[in-house]
Amino acid sequence: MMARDLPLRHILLLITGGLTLMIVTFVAYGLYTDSRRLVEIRALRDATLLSNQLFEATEKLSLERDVALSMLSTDDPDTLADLEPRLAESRVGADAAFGEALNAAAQYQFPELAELRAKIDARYSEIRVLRPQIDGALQLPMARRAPDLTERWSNEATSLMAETETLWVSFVSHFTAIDPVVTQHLRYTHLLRTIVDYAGRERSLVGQIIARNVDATPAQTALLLRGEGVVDLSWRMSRVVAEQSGIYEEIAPYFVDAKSHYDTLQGMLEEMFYVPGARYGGGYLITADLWFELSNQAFDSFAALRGESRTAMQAYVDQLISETERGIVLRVFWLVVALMLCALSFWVVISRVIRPINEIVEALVRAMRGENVPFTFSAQRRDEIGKLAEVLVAFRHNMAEVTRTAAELERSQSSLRAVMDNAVDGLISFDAMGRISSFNPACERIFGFEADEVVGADIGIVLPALNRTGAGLQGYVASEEARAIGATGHEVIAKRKDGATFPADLSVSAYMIGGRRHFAAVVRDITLRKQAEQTVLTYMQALERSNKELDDFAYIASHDLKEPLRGIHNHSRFLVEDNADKLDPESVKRIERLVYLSQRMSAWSMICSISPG
Amino acid sequence: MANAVIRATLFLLAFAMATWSPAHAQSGLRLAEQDIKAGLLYSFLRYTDWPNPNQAAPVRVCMFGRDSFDGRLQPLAGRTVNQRAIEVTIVRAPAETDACALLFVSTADEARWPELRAHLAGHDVMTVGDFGGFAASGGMIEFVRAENRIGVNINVEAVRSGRLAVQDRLLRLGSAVRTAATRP
Repeated sequence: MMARDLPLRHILLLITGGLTLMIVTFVAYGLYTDSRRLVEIRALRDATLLSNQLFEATEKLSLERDVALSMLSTDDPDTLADLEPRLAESRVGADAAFGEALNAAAQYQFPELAELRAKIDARYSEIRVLRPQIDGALQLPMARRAPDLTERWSNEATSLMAETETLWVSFVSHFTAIDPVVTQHLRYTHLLRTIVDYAGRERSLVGQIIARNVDATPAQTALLLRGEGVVDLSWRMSRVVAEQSGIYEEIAPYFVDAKSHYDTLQGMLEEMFYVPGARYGGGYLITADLWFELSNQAFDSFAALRGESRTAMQAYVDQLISETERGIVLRVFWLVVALMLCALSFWVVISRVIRPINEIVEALVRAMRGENVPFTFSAQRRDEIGKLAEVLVAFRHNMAEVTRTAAELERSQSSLRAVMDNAVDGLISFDAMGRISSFNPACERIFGFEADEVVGADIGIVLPALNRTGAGLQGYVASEEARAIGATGHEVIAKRKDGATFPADLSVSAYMIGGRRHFAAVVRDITLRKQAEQTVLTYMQALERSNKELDDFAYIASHDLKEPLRGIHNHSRFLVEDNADKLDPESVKRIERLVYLSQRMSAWSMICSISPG
Repeated sequence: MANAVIRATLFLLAFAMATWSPAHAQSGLRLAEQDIKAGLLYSFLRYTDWPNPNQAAPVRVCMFGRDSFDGRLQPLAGRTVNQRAIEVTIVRAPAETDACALLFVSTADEARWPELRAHLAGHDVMTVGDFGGFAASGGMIEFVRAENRIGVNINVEAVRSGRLAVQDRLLRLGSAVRTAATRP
């Protein structure tokens, strides 16, 4: 109901506005999603950095743990002297790596992270407490060292590594839903950590055995074999995962190098620990220090692999970021384009549709109110609005024509009305059913009815001859001669309001309006004419009588004159003829004049005597 | 049938236990030593830079005259070092050594060393030997045994004259050996 009342231009504006809003919402939502993704990926980049720092921290700690354990398992001054700088170096490395990693982790506000960090801090304090104790013990022969120090150190360091790993796992769990490739990479990193962990355990165990210069116990051999199995499996799994995440191709040379180096190191142990009696000649073929050096070299190759993996992943994440940024720029561009298109469509709708329609409507409304409106809107356009304007201009011309015609009609109607009102004769119009439709003042005078009284009434009340119930009007209507009758005057008996009748001259003419037959009657009261005619008739009859009498007298008079005249004529002629020589010419002339006069007299009396017949 | 298998296995085990002797221990020692030397060779390759290396070509490790590693060097073949594949070959004539990155000369071929050294002068081939006085006589790296432990003597000058660059890591292996390096 509401929508039907709404002006079309408002609906157009609403639709255009709605579409604009939709486009803007759609693009803005995309922009929002992209921006969020950008924030997430940036966080991911930072997170992979922290992940690497945590990785490095455990690796450094593992080295410190292994070197310290090897040193604790011997009191050989040469071995201790060899390993001492390595221990100091590993401590500096572990401190720096943990400091960096924990600082970086402090930026993240995940609730469980704080607890884990507190735990790691506490554990690290224990490590710091144990370090001087270890340094003290290393100055003493084996027998005088605290018996549980090795175990405590091993437990604390291993626990710290485990807790750091828990922190790592807990931390990366917040970032595994962002990007599948990065998630795969985090899994890959986890497998590399496993390799480092078990290779470190092997390094530690072998270092201790060499430092102590004892045979490996079956349990130690089992541990070594188990570690070798875990590392081997981790190598294979990490390769599979790296292939799945797509970074293997980039890191392959480093991966194969690191694995080659590890395999070569592993090969060195074959005949030392996996066969009985490997302590040939009562000692191992290499020193603990050389073992640590070779082992660290293998870790170097491994670190190169890790560095390359990190670089590949950073490059991937950076590419993700730049792609997302490009996406945002593209979306902003499309948003601007969409807004410009919307603005354009607004402008088109307003300037080319709504404004012209408003002008037209306003002009029409003003024209309806009767104002003289110049229809000046652009008729140059060839579109629908242009055609509409053209039509309206044409319509306006027609309107002007109609107005002029109406004025003329009004004028002619007024003059017709004046004619009717001032006509001496009565003018009545009526339809085919005999209903009176107009009755002029002359009629009112003639018939004594007011126009109001008779309009709509039957014509028969004033002209009984045309009573529709009688044959009169039906006759006129039916007869083809109606026009002929109407064209000529016709004397009828008309009836006044008071019931008195009078003679009237009636002429009826038929005409068609809208396909229906109507009649116009001209009525003239001829009472006076009739009376005058009667008077003339009476005079005429009296004159006739008088003429007759005169004729009769003339006849008689001429008849009576004829005889004497003839005597005068004859006697005169005889006188001339008989006495012409006796008479002077003057007398003759007079007598001939007398003959002539008597002849004229005789002719006139002849006329008079004839006429009465 | 099954019994026969079990009996044969038991017999073999008994035989192995009965024949376990210092001679076998000596053989184990030799293998362990070769494993360790193989591992060290890998480190030499890892921390040495050859002039104008061709990354696409493999790193050729040559044993002069015979397989003095009893096959324990073979696992290196197919592995990579510094992103180059390792190839293990035996060369029998000095002329064949030109394409080697590393040439190992065993005690058995000590007599041919001067001839080899003369041939290799000016070639960028890393020479490794395991007989006494190898480094002192112009060899680059010499495996030594001190107190039953394997050590490494590095002749830095020889290395430099071979236009090779060895990294600190390699020198640390040498310094880790108790026997002092012998300079020629």
